[in-house]
Amino acid sequence: MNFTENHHISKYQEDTFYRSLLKSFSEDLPKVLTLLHEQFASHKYDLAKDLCHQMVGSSATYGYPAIARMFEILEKTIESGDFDQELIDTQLTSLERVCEKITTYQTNLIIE
Amino acid sequence: MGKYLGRILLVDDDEKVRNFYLATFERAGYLATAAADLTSMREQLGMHSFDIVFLDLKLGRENGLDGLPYVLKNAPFTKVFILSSQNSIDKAIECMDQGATWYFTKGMEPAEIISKLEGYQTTSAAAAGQSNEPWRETLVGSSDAIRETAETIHKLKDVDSTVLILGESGTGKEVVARALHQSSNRASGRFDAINCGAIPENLLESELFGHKRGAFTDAKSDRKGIFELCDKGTLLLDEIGDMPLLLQTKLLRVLQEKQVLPVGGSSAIDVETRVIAATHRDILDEVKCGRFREDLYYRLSVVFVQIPALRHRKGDIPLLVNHFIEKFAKRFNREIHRPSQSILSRLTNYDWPGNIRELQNAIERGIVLSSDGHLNIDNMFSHLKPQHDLQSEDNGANTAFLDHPFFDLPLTDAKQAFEKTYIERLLKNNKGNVAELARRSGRYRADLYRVIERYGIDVDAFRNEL
Repeated sequence: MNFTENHHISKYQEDTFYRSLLKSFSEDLPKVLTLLHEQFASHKYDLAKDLCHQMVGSSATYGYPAIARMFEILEKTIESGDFDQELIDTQLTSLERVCEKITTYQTNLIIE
Repeated sequence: MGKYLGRILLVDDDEKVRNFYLATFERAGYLATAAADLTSMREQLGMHSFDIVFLDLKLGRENGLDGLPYVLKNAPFTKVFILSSQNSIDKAIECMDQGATWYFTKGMEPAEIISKLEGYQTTSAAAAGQSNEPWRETLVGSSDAIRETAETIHKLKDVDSTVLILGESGTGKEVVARALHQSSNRASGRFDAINCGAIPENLLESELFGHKRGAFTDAKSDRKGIFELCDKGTLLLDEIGDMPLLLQTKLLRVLQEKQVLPVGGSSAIDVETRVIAATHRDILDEVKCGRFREDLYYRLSVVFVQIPALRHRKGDIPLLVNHFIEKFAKRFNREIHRPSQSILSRLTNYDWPGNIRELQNAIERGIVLSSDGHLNIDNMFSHLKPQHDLQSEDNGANTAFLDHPFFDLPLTDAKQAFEKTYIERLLKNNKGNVAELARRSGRYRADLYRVIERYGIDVDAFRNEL
């Protein structure tokens, strides 16, 4: 999946009402990815699929349709049962890249 | 919060999603509460009357859709909006076929959700207003009692008097309270209901009168109470007979002074809220026993509405049966024949201790289990098949409990019935030793004596048992 420059910025970024919620969401992203890595490493695919499903909903809710779509692809990959570690690693790496951009963006916003 | 638009229950297992939508709904003017699973949802529905339940389809390992029949059955005035990560027309149709009102996909913009909510509420209000007296359709029956109730509601349409509704569980006290609201000049204002018996004592005051930030550990921001939210509307205080004495005193002051003082607040707030109270208890007996303040009783009982038990208006049973057949046949998309005379006579001869609620459940069960479009009496009465007596010696720690009639009672009544049975069982096993009861139940002895008195349990009888 290709990303444009703005996929790390929530659709609701301009609405100051959601600022603290967006910050809190972004702070949780690294923990979610760490947990996903652990679940894949221990072959707990059902748990990983559930977590991806949850992230599809919360990412979409928080105005990040692109990462919602990435989690959805990962969820469907697990659901298909037809995957190897390399494919999972590729998808996780893409996710990590965009999630890191989100977290950095939110952190810088606070500093500004 | 600006104008109060209604009460929403959001059921979602993801805390992040809950936080986002709670903030969104509250900003728009709704009072929003969250539940993380179906058990919490059922608890919340037992405490409050919600306008809308937002139900997530996937609640961890639970299927959110499994909660839909519960809401439709136990909260008939509540609409269910499904919330899902799945953008699927088939799924949306399936949910709406089962009785959901709307299907939202997570990711829909908050402004669009709020606009749809407001649009839906405006349309519903307009539809309700099309008939001159739409509330009349909710009172099913032709008995003198129902006609008198309708007449009383009609007479009260231009006045703001406090009304006390008395009747056994399942007789339709909330239906009458809503009819009183709809027929009044407050109909365009809010109607809300709170179950005084289902909310823990320490939370009830804040629910009723609101709280200021920092008033207690969880009070992270100011919150309006239900009295203030229903300003210029109507508030049903359900199970008023279960309200703790201390709060009764505060309620009396609110009714007299038309002002509420939020918990932790220093200045009172004016409210113009009409109060309707309801109870299944013998309220005069509660007054006599000192459990209910006499002055509050007189303040609440300006007008009485006594709803008779279904066994005392059996002539209404055929009308109710037809009413529920139409309702459930439509909901489950089934063609159901009118019941035969012999079935009607069986239904009419039964006493219906759970009143209309029990009859409604029986008809629903009959329709769901019907394979040929005919109602089968065995299906309808299957909830009466061997009832297991928890007090008998041979109750075994068994699955019989799952068939217990508790499950045919409203949650508040079921909790009370269980509490009484539980206490009697422990007293019996420990020969009336209250200290042992306190130890085993994890409750203070003083609390237990209060409960024992409330249920009229004779502790000495257990002490004297051989």
